[in-house]
Amino acid sequence: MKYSYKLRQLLSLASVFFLSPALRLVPSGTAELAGRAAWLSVPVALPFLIIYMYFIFCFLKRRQGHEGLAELILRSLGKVWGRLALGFLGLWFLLYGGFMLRSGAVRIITTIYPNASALLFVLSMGLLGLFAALGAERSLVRSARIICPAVLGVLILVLSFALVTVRRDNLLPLTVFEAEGCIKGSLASLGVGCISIYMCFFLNGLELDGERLFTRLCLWAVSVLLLLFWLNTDIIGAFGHELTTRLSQPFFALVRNLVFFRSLERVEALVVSLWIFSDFILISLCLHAAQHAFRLVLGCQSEYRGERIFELGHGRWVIWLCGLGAILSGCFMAGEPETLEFWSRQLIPGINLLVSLLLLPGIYIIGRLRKRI
Amino acid sequence: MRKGRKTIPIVLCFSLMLSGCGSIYSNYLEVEQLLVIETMGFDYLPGGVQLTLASGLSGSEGDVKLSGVGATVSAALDQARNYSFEDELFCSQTNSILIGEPAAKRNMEPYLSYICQSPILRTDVPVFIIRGGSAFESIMESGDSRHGVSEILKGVTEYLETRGGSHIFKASQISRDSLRHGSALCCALEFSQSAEPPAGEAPSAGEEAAQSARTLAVAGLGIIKDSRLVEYIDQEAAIGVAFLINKVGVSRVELKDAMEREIVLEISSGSSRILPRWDEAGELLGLDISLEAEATVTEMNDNADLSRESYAQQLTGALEEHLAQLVGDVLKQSARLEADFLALGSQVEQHSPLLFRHLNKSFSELLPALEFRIAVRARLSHTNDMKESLT
Repeated sequence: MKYSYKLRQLLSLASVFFLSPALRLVPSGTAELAGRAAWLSVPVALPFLIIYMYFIFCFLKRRQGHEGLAELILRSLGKVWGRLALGFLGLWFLLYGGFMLRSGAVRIITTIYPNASALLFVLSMGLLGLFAALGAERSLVRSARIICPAVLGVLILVLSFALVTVRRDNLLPLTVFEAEGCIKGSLASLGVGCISIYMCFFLNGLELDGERLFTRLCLWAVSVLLLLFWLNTDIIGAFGHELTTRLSQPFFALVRNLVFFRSLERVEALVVSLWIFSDFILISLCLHAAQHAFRLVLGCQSEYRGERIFELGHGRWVIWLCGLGAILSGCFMAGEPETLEFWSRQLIPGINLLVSLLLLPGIYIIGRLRKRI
Repeated sequence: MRKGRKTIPIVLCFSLMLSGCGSIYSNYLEVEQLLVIETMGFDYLPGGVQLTLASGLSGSEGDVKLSGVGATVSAALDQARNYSFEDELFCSQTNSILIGEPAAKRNMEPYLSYICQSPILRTDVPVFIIRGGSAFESIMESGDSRHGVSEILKGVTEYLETRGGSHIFKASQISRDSLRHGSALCCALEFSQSAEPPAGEAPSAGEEAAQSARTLAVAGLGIIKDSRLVEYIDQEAAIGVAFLINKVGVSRVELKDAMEREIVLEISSGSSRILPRWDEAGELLGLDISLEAEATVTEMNDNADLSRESYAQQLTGALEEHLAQLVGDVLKQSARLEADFLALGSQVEQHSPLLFRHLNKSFSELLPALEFRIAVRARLSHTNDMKESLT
């Protein structure tokens, strides 16, 4: 396959994809569910995420050639049900992309431009994602390989300096009574980890040159959850779980307070703008995955063959429709803060968990039972 | 070549968007055009809030002070900006927040919420309550041409950070403690006459000139319960607070020896350990508080002779008794107000988490019934003064 990519590049894509939803969901969401034990809810998610990685590994073992999860779903369920499932997943990816456009815009507004309108940012990022979706997946994956070290480097720097603000009484003591809240809080981390992986492997083009897929997936899961654990500990340790649940963007509030070497402060605008790269990767991947699903439903070849950007043949007009769909949904969804809160805390994570933990495993089981994969 | 012909117009179209928001000439501001606000004050007005702002000193021009009124803090800030001479107010460098006493007694929650939610303010900005006054008056009338109110507050902050008896309480900490314990502490300042005349006035310029200089001085701590200021803790009693929250800095204590002579001791370090006492049924009976303090003698008068062991022991005993008194008074105040502003509940929870979880009332409600046993162990490390007085 001409435009293929490696596993290491794909996992970088998954890491960058992981950052935006993790920052949005995990600190406040886990603090609300788990209270003081919120910082422990991330490691609690690890065994469940490893099990999920094993499921993805088993599913991908059934690949033929450079197939992705989309092709495997089509083979597992057959033409009719497979297309229905892909259509549903395509709509889900568009919804998710639109929601991330909206929440990313709200993030920029609440942290840097309090008087601006969200529509400008939704439109700008949507157009950027659309133009990325009109190109090869390989370009997106390689972009993530470049962006990943920059974003993770800044995150690690910020978290290191934030360690001095952590207070012991914000994290301890913990009792067994916090276990239930901890497990509920771990669903947020689990959901974000699952969607990062299945969305990345949805596309075709991955070349596995004898690489140990399961080991690499597990290492990825451990590393992202470790980073998320550090982030959550810093935030809960600095603000306490009571204040964290009331802050709209606790990570950026933490960055706002940081002073580097008693000289440099108020760098939150730079950090927020760096998250735009993560948003761009996420939106582009959502559009790539959605158009891939819809083009398979229509029976078109979804593989990129070097077509020009405005070419509409081979079903490429679907990409434009997907872009339009994501932008329109981002513009019109969740206009009120309470509605956005509902979408952010309950609706989107709920649908994600249903897709990750029920739909995809169900498709795999059906495919294995029917001996189609 | 064909690709280039199509690409160039597209790039030119997009380059129009690279010029930034609007035009670089219409909304671009030089740094000198920004008024950097370093102090912000909140006062209550019926139906709204009065916001008072002050910049730092700027060369020979002095500091700029302005005020605005509005239904909300944002509206007051807009009014202050609209009716000022300034191009733009830059509030992201705010280093101190002052809250007038009437506003603090009414409700501090709107101001703390604004600080924690605002993208322009840091959540760890120090908060001070103006004891017996308003933030407007204290900002507008403090300082002189050489010392602006922001510089005075910087001095106060440094004083609190290096010396004892008080502790800087930040907006996020006050918010968190209020949410967790229902109560919190806040530094109190008083707006009073300065010890020096205004800049440019000679010390002998006359009483009126000397009295015209006003400043902000440390005046103990304010107790906040349910987001309202309820009482104060005086500067000396704040030493007891410092011990109980384990933030003992350098603080001076004046004692009398057995012969009723004045002795000044300086506490250089100290700590406390709080252990809960439970009965067999898991009910909290009280707290055992043990303090350790190390002090030095800085000044003594008349016929004091520290070289005699019995005298040193007597002085140590007096210090222990004094510290026990200070700590006991603060604990009684906490019990009387049913306000856990010392975060004693947290310390009990750290020690016995399971028993704490099964308490049938909140810790604040249990405070009046608790028995406090205080044990102090002090040590005089050395004397800065002479071992024996001249007379």
